[in-house]
Amino acid sequence: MTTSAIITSCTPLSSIQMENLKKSLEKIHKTNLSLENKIDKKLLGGFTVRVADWFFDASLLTQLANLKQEIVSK
Amino acid sequence: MEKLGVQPIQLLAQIFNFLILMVILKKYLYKPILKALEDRKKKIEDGLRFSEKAKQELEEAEKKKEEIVNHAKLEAAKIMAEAKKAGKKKELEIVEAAEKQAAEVIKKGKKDLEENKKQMEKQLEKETVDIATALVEKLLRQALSEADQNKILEKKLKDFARIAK
Repeated sequence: MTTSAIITSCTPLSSIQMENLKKSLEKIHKTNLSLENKIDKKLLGGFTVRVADWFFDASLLTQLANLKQEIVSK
Repeated sequence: MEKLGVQPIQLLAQIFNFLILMVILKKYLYKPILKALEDRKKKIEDGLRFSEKAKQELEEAEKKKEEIVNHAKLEAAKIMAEAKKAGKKKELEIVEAAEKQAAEVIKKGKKDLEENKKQMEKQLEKETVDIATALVEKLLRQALSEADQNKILEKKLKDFARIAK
């Protein structure tokens, strides 16, 4: 059974990057995944991954939002 | 005596008549008159005594009246003094309560002011950070080239791979 994983990034991932990411994600989820790369310039940089309910955010936009939150909450 | 025209027998008769008159007068006139006089005297004395008693009672009543008036005056003065004292105490209590209330109002005002100041500072800080992050985001969008984007993406993928191991 194959589960789909959606990768969102500002620029498209290379095939090597996709392959490496697939391996990492399959290691985490212990299942076969089919990756789909979506482009979203709003992310500013980096990427996000969604596998079913699981979500990982490594975007610059979120990093900037976290930094902002950190400054405000001090 | 005869030479003087005084008849001894006539004189004796007159003396005798006089004595008889005296006895009769004493018995039927003097005694009632004396008794009436005595009664009258007694009545007058009783009247005087009554009058004296009445006078004495009047004096006592006057004295008593004066005592009551004095006592009432003293009581009134005492009540006035107590009322004044109570009024003064109440006045002090009111002043004290007003001062306390004013102090509380000032304290609350200071606290509110401090809280408002803090809130405003926090709001200002948030707005500053909002503006700053918005600026940073805008600058990054303009400054990051596709090559930079690729480098960032590569780094993030490597970081993720490390985490996944």
